[in-house]
Amino acid sequence: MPFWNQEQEFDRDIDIVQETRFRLNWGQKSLGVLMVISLFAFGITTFVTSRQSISQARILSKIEAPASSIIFTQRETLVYVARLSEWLAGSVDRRTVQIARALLAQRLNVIDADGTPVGSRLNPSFLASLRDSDQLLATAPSGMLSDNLRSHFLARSKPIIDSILLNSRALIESYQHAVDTQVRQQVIVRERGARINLGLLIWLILINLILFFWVGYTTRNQYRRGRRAIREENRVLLQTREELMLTQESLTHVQSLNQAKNEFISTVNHELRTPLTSIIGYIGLIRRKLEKASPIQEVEPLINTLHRNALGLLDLVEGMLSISHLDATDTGVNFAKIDLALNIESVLFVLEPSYLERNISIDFAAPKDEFIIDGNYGQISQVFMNLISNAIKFSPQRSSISITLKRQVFETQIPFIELHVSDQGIGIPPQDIPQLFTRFFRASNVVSEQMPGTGLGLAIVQKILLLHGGNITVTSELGLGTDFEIRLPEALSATDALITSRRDSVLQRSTSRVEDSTLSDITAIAHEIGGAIGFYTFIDEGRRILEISRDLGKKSVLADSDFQQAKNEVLSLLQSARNRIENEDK
Amino acid sequence: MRPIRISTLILIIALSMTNCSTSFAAKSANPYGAAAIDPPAANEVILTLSSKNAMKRYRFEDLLKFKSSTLTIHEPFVKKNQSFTVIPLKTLFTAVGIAGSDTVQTKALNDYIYSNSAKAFLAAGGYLAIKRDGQAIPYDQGGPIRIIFPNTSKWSIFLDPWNWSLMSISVK
Repeated sequence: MPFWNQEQEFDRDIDIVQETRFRLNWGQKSLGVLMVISLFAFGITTFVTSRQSISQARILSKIEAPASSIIFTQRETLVYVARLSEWLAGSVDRRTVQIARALLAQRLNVIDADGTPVGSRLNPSFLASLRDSDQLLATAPSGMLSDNLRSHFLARSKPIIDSILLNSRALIESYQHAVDTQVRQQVIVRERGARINLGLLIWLILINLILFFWVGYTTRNQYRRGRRAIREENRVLLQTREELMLTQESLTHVQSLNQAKNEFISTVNHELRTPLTSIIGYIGLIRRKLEKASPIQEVEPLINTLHRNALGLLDLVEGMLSISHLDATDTGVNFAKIDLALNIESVLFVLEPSYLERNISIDFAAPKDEFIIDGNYGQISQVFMNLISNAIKFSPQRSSISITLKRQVFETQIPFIELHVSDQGIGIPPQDIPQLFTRFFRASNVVSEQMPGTGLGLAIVQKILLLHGGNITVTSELGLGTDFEIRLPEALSATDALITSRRDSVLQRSTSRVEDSTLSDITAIAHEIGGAIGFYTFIDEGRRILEISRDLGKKSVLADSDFQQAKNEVLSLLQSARNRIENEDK
Repeated sequence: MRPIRISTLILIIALSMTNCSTSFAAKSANPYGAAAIDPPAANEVILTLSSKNAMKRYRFEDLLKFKSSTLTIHEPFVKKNQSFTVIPLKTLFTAVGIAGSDTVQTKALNDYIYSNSAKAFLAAGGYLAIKRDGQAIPYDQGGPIRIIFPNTSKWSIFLDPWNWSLMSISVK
């Protein structure tokens, strides 16, 4: 069971984020909403109260002007009554009383703020009393009132004076009553508004206090939970580090064991191959001597079997040596330019006796200097040697083998060489194809036919091709033949190699830039990226992105929807290019 | 016969006009006005001016002798434009020797009193109105003399200093 479980680790990260994130529960959220609503209500009531205050101030202002007029009217009335009394007492002449009456008339004629004269507020009985006093004065003689007339006019004037004073007082009382009523109404309204405001204020303070302590309590708990989670995460990290160190040690140990194994196999193989070669040589010598001498019929089959088995054993040792060597080899060791046409011709030259012996024709023709790869000459030769010798081995006599070479280009403009080795041999059972490149695996029909082989040839071929950045696939039809297809990357120029190596990082940077782009710079970024990725072999995508940039540039006003659409399309094109690279790598 | 009648009519009209120019019993347009006021006594003083060191009494005829001008204002009590024949308060203050630092007290026939510094009165550009539309001002319309202020004055809307039926100006 692996100690490292990426999904579990991811889940734990999410848990920590959840634990440390500040959250409000539904109650706190409800309280917050309630507080906002209360604030809103408080604002409305304050606004209404303010409006009422303004209205009240206006009303009081309207009240004040008439009040002032009425007070002055009252004053003039009292002055008039006083003058009248003084006249009756013989202190002043009639003219003085008449002047006081005229000044009262002037006061009554004053126009108030509402556009009406002060006199219009008077009770009709007030005006009637004034007219009575006017008539009284008119009937009196001018100048001072004589003693003998005084009692007469005193008796006549007394009810008039009483009426004037009574009406004057009633004027003030009625006005005062009206003002009192209005002010009382205002006070009631204002008091109600103030009570509501006060209630809301207390309510708000209460909610605030509850929310403050509640959120504080929750925050403290969340902080503690977060701290515990971080402590736990720290513990897990330490544990993981220890496990990683142990794994590192194990890996080093395994690598050293593998190295020892390879060295052991190499040594053993070498030790086996040397005496085997010697044994085979001596068997050949014995056979030649026996042929010259009188043949011993009983011995020859035994010697032949011995020779065949020794060759098989040598073949096995060679295969194991090769694969052991390949396991210990890194990619790119002793790489040089290889002309595949020449390489194949040299292999065919070596194999010529074996296929001519069986009347097998090999169809191969390829121009020189056209199919060049970067690779290890010996390893590539072994690939062709194994494939072509297999084709010869499993083909019937007088059949033909076809070897073709052609250049292909990926959609991303990366060139490669495709090679086919097709025979008309026994074919491979379909169920065996998936395991065909497994070490020591041999197809079931080969085993049943007791054909010689070690099961290492194709495993070596695949290993070498992988080391060269290539791959191999097989299609076969039982009894009709087999076709092996090899793909090897064509040798690149220095510029091409540089471009190839940087394509992925260019796409990554381009994606980041587009993701961070804004409405104001998307056009410029698209233009820049379009040109760049076109240079890095993504010609179709680059051309389309440049078109998008041009379309954006034509718009006088760039809407947010245009921006989003363009951004998404560019990102989609970049993702498409990245997908192609991944597919090529596979 | 006819010339005699005409001359008699002219004499009557002339006598009426002469009487009107010196009497304050002019017919009132005030709807709340009273009956006619008895004619004033001979040489009746209508304004008493006094400073710390001097006192002067003025009949209506005396006031007519001051240099006057015409001032049209929006009369704030009846809320309409009216033209007055006016004497600057400054002229009157000078006449009796009221200094700017003195506290001036204006008093009306109904004993209404307003006090302020002479400087404030002068700054407000106060006038003594002696006629309205070329006619004597009736008692029931603030006459015969009153204090007014031009529309541009800061006291044009501050009505306390607008003393009607002025009787005296004195230093407190």
